[in-house]
Amino acid sequence: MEFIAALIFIAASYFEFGNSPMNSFVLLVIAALYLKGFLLKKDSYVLVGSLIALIFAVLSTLALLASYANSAILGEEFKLRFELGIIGYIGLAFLKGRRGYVQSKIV
Amino acid sequence: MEQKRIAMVGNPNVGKTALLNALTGGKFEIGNFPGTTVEKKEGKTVLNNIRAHFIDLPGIYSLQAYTIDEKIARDYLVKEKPDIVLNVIDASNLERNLYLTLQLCELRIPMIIALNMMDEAKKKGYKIDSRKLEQILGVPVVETVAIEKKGVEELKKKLFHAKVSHLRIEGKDLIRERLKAASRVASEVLERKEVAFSLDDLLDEVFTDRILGIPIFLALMWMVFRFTYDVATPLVSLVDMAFSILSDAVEASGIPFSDLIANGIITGVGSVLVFVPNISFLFIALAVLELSGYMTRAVFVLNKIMMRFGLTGRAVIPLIIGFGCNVPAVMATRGIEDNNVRLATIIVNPFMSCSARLPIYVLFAGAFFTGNESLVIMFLYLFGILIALFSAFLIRKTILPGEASFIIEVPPYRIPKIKSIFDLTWIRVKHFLLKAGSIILAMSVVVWYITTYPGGSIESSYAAMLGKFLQPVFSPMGWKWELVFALVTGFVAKEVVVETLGILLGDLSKLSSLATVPQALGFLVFSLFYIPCLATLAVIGSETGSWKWTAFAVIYGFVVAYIFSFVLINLFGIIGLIP
Repeated sequence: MEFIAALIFIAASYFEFGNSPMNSFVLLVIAALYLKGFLLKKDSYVLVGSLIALIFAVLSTLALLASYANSAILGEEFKLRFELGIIGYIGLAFLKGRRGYVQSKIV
Repeated sequence: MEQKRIAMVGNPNVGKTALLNALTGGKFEIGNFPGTTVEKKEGKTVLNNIRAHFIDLPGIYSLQAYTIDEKIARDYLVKEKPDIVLNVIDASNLERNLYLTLQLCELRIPMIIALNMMDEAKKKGYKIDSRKLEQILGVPVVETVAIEKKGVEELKKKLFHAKVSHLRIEGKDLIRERLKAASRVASEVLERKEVAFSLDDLLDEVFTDRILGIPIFLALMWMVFRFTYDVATPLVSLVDMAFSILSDAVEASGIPFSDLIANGIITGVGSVLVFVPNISFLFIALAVLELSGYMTRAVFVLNKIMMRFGLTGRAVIPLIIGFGCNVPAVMATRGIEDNNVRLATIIVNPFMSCSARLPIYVLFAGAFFTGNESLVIMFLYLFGILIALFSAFLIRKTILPGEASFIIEVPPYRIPKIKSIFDLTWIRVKHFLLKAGSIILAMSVVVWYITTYPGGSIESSYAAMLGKFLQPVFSPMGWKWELVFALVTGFVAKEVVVETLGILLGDLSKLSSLATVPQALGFLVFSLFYIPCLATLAVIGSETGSWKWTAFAVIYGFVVAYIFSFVLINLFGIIGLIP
């Protein structure tokens, strides 16, 4: 699963580059974390990768909503700029799946 | 009513300020890294019909006074003799904290111990017998978790039952004897359960990863700036609209001094206050990073780079504080033992982008770099860090040489509480708002006057005369006199740059007519580096105790600003990277 997630984020990073190189970089970092977690069989990398992915997805959603709100305030036409950062919500599935693992590490 | 002075003493980052807030209901700034408190903080409350006057001293490791903050703490304890010493101990680092406790015992001042951060100790698998500790030291011991206010009521009850410890350490080599005694006491009261691999260890493994640590840091920084710019935008628009409506209404009302109020005060102060949402969002993001404990890991990741630049771990904290305001950041250098490192840190600190510069960045990024605003703002922050480090390297290799060692205490990870984030953000935003209500308000009147008189129009005003007089100095950059004049007024406080442009232009949307895109980038870089603001200069003067170092900070900042903005404008102009 981690390997598939890494591939998804690599693809997202590639497609996002034209839109925003820095967004693309964040997606690549997430992909690298999943990949390292997969290669070394270490949950810690998957955990942090999922956490960053989720934060980035929430941020992308907030930016989208803010853009819409700003257009409404200024009375301008809203131009939807979809960001691939939104796919970070898949990190939620990894976090949910590792809830027991995380709890076992909290004394 | 009887009054008692209670000195709160402990190692750095053990939660003294959090405990002070819990005891007094105060809202002092708390952090999750060592060195948050550099000056005495005072809080008062009434407990058991006694007026309790708490003095929160800077965190210290011993009473040997190697650093300025240690000297402040020691001098207070020795010279001012408080009625009670409240020794705050990090329960998760008992042995190290006990070294100071043993020294405090020798002062013969009634003492009580708050065994704080018990939650962190439990996480590490530690079980502490606080009753036994009480017996050994001969003073009351109360277990607390200050940020959750646990044990605070018991501490309040026992506070005035503090006792003088009769424990004395004797021997030829007192330091060695105290270290031995601390180790002995810790082993008697502490039981360690083996914890395989805690969540903190797991997170550290990734956040401090040799290869991925820095990319993770850059990714998080990018998110911080997107949050600061993109997410705050609708609030900025709302505040901007509110000030426009207010200004138009006052101008149309025809009340006395309506021109001064509408085009001076409201336009001037409003042009700065409009960026309060950006500043608040930046502080929220930074508060999350600080309180979670990540910021210190970021420092750890940058360790190798820092060492190459001749700075120490303790120098990093003042640099981080510089993102908020350079004044407390310069004061935070008091925790640095090596005077040469301390001076170098003070000189380069103004290169860290303080919140006052954010309005300039946001304004210019919005006007000249549409679609890349967050990228430009992030570039300026990172460029500031880079030049600060490079300058430190240069200074340490030439005028302030010496070796640097890297020791930094890594705090535990914590999920930041909403209230803690809000409190920390509010303290910092309040500082900005107070400035808007004082310096910036006063400057709006001054700027309005010199942009209106003697001729009645801006082109024939004192401001134009001064701007045009100084313009030749900046002729290699090609800036118009309005920009030059804004830089002059910005010396008082950096926000005044935006305020001045607001008053000069009337409408900040006309800003793009003042410069080309490379010139705007050069102006941003110049604003980042040139002369520290008046308050920062004053504190550099008082902290270095030397007008020569203060003058050096001014000249060095100006030269760096001049060179980099000149190079950027011409480089980008020539190669045409930016149209």
